[in-house]
Amino acid sequence: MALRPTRWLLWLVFCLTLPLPYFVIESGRIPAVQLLLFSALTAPLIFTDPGLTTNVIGVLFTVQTLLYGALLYVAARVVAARLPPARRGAMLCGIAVALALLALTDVYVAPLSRGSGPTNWLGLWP
Amino acid sequence: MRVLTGALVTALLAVAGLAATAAAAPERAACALRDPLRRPYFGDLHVHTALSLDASTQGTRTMPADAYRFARGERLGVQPYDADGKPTRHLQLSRPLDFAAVTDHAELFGELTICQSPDLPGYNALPCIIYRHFPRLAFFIANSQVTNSPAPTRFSYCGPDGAACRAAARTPWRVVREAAEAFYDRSSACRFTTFIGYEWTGAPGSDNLHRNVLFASEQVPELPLSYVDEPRIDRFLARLQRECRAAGERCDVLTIPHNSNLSDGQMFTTVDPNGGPLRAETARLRHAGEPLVEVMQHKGDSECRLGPETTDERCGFEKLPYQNFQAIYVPMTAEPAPEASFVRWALKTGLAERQRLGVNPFQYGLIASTDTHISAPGAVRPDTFVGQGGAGEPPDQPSGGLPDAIEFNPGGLAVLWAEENSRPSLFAAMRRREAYGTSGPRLVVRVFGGWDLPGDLCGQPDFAARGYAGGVPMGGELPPRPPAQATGPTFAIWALRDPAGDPPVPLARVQVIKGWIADGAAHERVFDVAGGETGAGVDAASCAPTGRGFDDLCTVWRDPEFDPAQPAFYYVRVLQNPSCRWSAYACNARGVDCADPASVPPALIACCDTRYPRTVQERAWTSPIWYTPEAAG
Repeated sequence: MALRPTRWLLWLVFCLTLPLPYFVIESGRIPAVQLLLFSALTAPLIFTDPGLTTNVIGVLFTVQTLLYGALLYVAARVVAARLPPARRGAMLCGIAVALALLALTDVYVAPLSRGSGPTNWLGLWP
Repeated sequence: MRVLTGALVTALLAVAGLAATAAAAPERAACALRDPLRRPYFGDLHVHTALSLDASTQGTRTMPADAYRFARGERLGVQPYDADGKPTRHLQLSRPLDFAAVTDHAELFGELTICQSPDLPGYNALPCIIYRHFPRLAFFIANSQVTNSPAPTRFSYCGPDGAACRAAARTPWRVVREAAEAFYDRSSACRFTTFIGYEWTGAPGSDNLHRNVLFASEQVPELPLSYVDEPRIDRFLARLQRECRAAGERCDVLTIPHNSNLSDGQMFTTVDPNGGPLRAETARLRHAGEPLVEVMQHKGDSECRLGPETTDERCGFEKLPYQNFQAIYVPMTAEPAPEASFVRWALKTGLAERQRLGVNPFQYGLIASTDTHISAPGAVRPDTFVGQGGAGEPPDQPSGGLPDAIEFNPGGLAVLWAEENSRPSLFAAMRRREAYGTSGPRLVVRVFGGWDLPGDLCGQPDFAARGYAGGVPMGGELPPRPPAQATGPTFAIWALRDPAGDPPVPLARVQVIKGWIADGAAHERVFDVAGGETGAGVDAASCAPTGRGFDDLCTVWRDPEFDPAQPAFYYVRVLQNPSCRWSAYACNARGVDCADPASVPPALIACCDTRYPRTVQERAWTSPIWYTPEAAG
């Protein structure tokens, strides 16, 4: 597999699975994809229903989404570069499976979607 | 959320048949039990159901009718719900209440209805999508937009001028009214009384100014007047009276402030909404419209605080470690609540304001209630507490933790001395402040104040008759001092332990708290007037009370420091022997051993937080009796 698609696929896997600490009123650990969803839901409210806290929530989600998106891209780039070219596909699959298995354990804390207790990836989506 | 919508529709259908009768309510039968010397009736005047956004977003699905059924003694299923929509926990009162009022937050009635009704425009608006899929997020957004904003606004999906949300608010308001009408016992049995009510939920800058609004009869305004409609307290009180008068001649209304402990000193401010010192007009509105204050509930005690102004060590009871709502979520802003957040400060300040303005803006009688957010009025037992879910805290047990935030408590009860269990009689008791609050136990407390009450009143069968004949009950004002009176006023006080307490705990002592103004400054003093140190305790492992106490306490007490030139108030506090706090029961049941910290799971670490005692002294607070020097009257 070529380096560029490996990098982007790796980034996608990271965004989908890695539990990332965030803070928006209540802190938790969720994947970047859920941060993106929260940004998409709350950022438009800054324009349609502005209010101090609403604006803060929308901005915090958006900033953290962009930040993690960039950080995960850098991480994916570093990791992809270190994969042996001949085994990139297999190793990418291995990483994806490992992270998917990790995501099925209670590594997330999602107070805004699940409550205060730990949960797995499936529990992130009410 | 579909289940919640279904519950709303079911409730509407269930009460639909009552709509016609509500408009022309028949006169009620005379109560078979009517005591001109009055009896104590126990109830809860602060109850939230799924119609409140903050209850709904934490999984509450029960409606006003469910709350009233529960108050009457029926079983209530509460969250969490299983995959089939069945509640996994159940509650039941061992003793039904005599009265209750559902007081859902009025501010988002319409918004919530739209978000739950696919046929209404606005259902697919972004805030509604957030509400249906991420209710906790919706809780923060809606509160910041509406109830916690100094300039509350409606969501854009409410349409121009909020018309769509105001129209949609008629549905839940009808549910509230019709449930209250359906469960009010108009038969001669007079077993249960309801009041139509709601909560005005203003907390500008997250400083709590919340008030419960209670109506005397079925005649009420077409829509509740919410914080969004009228955010300024003086205008709100004035407009509420106007709208009530317009609703019909039987409409009467009062408001009950609560959680002054979370107001950061703003609930009893002496700054007028127009700026400058409080004006007489504003003081009159508060005096006339707010005869009672909720001194204690699920989110803490608001009587007094331990601080430089008092040596009253019993002010440490059920204190929250923060001063307003914001500090809950932004702990770095937390600080102890100021003295002005507490009712005792308000009572003292009211004396001074009366001297200045001729009217006391803070002439409050005292009650307590639960502020349940799971439709469970009167669920105050500490040993079976499942959480009340206040302030948006989910009352489920997601990770084997405590059923509620450690700083919260089950809440208390309101007690009204009334001739009978009917709306007119109970409402009149609220108006004249012949009321008291308890932190849960059903203590019976009776107080009369007069200039020369007989010293032998205790134990007399005509205690009440002579008390009324020679004085005024709790909540009253002492009559003018007789010209020949050389001594201070006397107070006849009788307290009875909860005869069927959960658990049974004897009384420890009775105290009189006096506040007065001298040389332009406010003073206070606590007098122990009956009972005393009993040496009683609690067995830490079983929570069984140990030691002795009193089944009842009675005294006729005369103020030994009375100065006829000083305005004063006197209220009574009755303390039980120590008993386990709810958290001690919960932590014991979960096998927590704080002596071995390594064995305590993270979810239960709060059990070992030394800021929260394992035992408390449950109590009752009566409404004050006021004395005003004649020249100041």
